[in-house]
Amino acid sequence: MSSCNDIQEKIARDESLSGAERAHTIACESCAAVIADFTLLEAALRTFGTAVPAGFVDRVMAGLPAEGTATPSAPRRWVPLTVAYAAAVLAVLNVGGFLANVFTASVALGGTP
Amino acid sequence: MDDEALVEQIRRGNREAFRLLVLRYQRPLFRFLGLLGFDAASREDLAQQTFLSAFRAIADFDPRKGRFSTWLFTIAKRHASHERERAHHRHETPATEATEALSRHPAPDPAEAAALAQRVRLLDAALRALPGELRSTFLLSQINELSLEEVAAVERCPIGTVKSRIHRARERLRLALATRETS
Repeated sequence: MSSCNDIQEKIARDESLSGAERAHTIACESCAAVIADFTLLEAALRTFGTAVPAGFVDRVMAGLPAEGTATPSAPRRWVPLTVAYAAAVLAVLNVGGFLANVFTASVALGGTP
Repeated sequence: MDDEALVEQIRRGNREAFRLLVLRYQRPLFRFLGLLGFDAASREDLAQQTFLSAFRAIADFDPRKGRFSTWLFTIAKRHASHERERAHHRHETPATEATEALSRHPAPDPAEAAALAQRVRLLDAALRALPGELRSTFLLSQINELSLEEVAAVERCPIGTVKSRIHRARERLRLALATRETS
């Protein structure tokens, strides 16, 4: 037979009691008080924060990105890759522009390109 | 339809599947945020942010790594932590959940109403007095949606630690209620 301490420890851990232990909690004032405490605690917990405001789901749905602007299945690396490609293109254009400027300046100074 | 099937539908562009997920998790999420001590306005803001973040990142959800509920509560916990930091910088005191809870659960007779009011206030104070990690772990387990393994994943700690935290939190709350009720 478990001691009161063991039984109360099980109750505190929310573990299930054996038949003999359950019978003990009915006869034992100390263990019955612990069960009553936890019943009270659980009842009080149930009164907290359960209300969902009316229309909440509609507000969530209305707040989602417009269809077509964000595809949930789109891989996240899509944007960085696009940015990377754009940066690469700009870099090439910049280098091209720089070479073109050198070429133009060289010709204007009468040099050979 | 289970969560993973709904997620697959959402990835294919079915927004109604997302509505079903919101309906399924709105109640446990509000309960979690309420028990963390957020007032009604903050609860709604945080719940909205959580669902919106989940929708935006749905492509990242990997069912092989854990259940959808674990993933969703991890997002909620992150938003809640950020909100706490912001409120701390604004030097705000969170509104009492006890008053709101009482207004939702009016007791039929004055004596019972007084006892319930006292109990809810004590619980509110006791929950606030719990150390952060104890409170968060306890509340995640109280949601009943999260198993010990899932709470451990959200809290990023071993299952043994989860069990110990739940036990300590329950005992502290019980004593807080029992001591005051008898005094």
